[in-house]
Amino acid sequence: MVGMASVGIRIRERRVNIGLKQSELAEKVGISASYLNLIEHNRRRIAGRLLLHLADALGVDPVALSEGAQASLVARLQECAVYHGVDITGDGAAADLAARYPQWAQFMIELDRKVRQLEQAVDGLSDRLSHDPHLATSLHEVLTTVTAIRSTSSILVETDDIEPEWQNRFHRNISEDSQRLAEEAQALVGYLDGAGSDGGSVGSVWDELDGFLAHYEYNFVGHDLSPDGANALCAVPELKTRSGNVLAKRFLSLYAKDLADLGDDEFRTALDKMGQDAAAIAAMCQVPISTVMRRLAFSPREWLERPVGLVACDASGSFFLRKPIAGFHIPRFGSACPLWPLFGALQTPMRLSEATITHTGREGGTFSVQAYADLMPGQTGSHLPIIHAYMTITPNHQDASPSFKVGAACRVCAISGCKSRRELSILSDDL
Amino acid sequence: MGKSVLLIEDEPNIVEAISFILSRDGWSVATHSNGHDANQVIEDKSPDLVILDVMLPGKSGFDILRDLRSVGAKPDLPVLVLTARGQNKDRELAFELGASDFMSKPFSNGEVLATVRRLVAG
Repeated sequence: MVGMASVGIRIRERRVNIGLKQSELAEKVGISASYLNLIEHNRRRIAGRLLLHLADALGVDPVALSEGAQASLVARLQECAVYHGVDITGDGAAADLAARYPQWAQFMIELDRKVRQLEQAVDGLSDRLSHDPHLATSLHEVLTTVTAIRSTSSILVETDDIEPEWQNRFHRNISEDSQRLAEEAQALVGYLDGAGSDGGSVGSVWDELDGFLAHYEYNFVGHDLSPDGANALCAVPELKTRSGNVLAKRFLSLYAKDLADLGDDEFRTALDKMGQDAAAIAAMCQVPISTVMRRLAFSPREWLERPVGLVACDASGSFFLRKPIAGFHIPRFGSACPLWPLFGALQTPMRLSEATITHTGREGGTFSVQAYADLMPGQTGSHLPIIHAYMTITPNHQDASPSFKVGAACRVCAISGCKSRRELSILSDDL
Repeated sequence: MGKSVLLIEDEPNIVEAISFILSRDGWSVATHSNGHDANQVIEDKSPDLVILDVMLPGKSGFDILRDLRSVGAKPDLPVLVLTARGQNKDRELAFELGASDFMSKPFSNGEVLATVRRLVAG
């Protein structure tokens, strides 16, 4: 019914816009005016040759009249409304908007896209402002210098009988602090500019690792993973420091071990038989579940039916490995949402948990996740084992399993009444 | 007034400005620029009030305050915490650790003077 309403309305709108009478259009396409009237008032469905003739007579592309394009536009509008929490009631409201004012509908969709992009940028910047250690130090230095200038200049302005010696001294202090402030501000702007231009430049060794992995599109199929090969692989601009280099080589060593345990051919065969189920593949190939999870995440996209993201943390909950996936924001700094199954896995090591979760972040979406924590012998002298937890993240567009909501991090999460909330959100006053 | 203040702050120009306004108001001002031995200096100088920066080399102002209240024999010594870290959580932590008052940078000289007078009088 939505589709019929759209086509009929669009035909009428277009006919009126170009100044054609119903009888004139009907004659052009070889139907009666009364039949055309039924079509325009949604009492008759049309398709095929008649649709083509009408589109031709109206001077438009048939797609512009068709239900296919319309349905896509309507679905997109409805999704926008849901995302922004707008309660548009009444069946056909979105369809009417799309049919009557297609350009306005497209404009709204484009606005929605830009809003989501900006929201994502805010998420990233807020995350950074809260937890980037370099940024925190820089801001502290700026504020300290500003304080010195403010205090000193207040003295000069408010003290009538200040001795010349003190006056000179304070003038010199202001001059020095102004110079320092200018340098600190320039450094800060340069740092932030570098961060914004490419969606996230290197700001820490973990950023270097992220950049390194992205450089190779998160897989190293066909690359030489020997020590010499690893050196060559690490000769990329994203690795700027010795620490970043060490992290990258450590990853390559782990990747090589995973490849030795589960070679490409065996892995692809298992994928064909078992799908992207880490537990099933692990059982079939007799390898650790965590090995399979890493193989899933760091395989070429064309091997997989659905994309796979990954996040890994140690026992403190700090991330040490990350492969991003659209719609599931993983904080770059600081702590993530405590509701993630990743953290639950830390409490139940060696046991796979699965869940369907809805990420309430900017783009958001529903995802199937698998979480698993490895236990390894601890340091000599320590009774504590080493725990590494992994969580794979796969878009879930079809499964209707109940899901629970998670955010990216408390600071940028709008879920209200969350008992796990750690700090106020910039999006609400809920705690 | 004849009362003394110990200013623990590592930014020299802030030290100079605050020392100037307090001295002009009749306070005896001692200064110290690092956190390493700040608790010992507080013990030695025995001031009527401490102005304490948080970000100090060697030991943070929060740690100095914590030790002052838990280990030192100065539970009632007024302490004004100054910091560029002005978020609510820093304020809450300062009070939790026993700060008498908290001021974010940048502050006005008048505010500092009024607060010092109030804390010592109180």
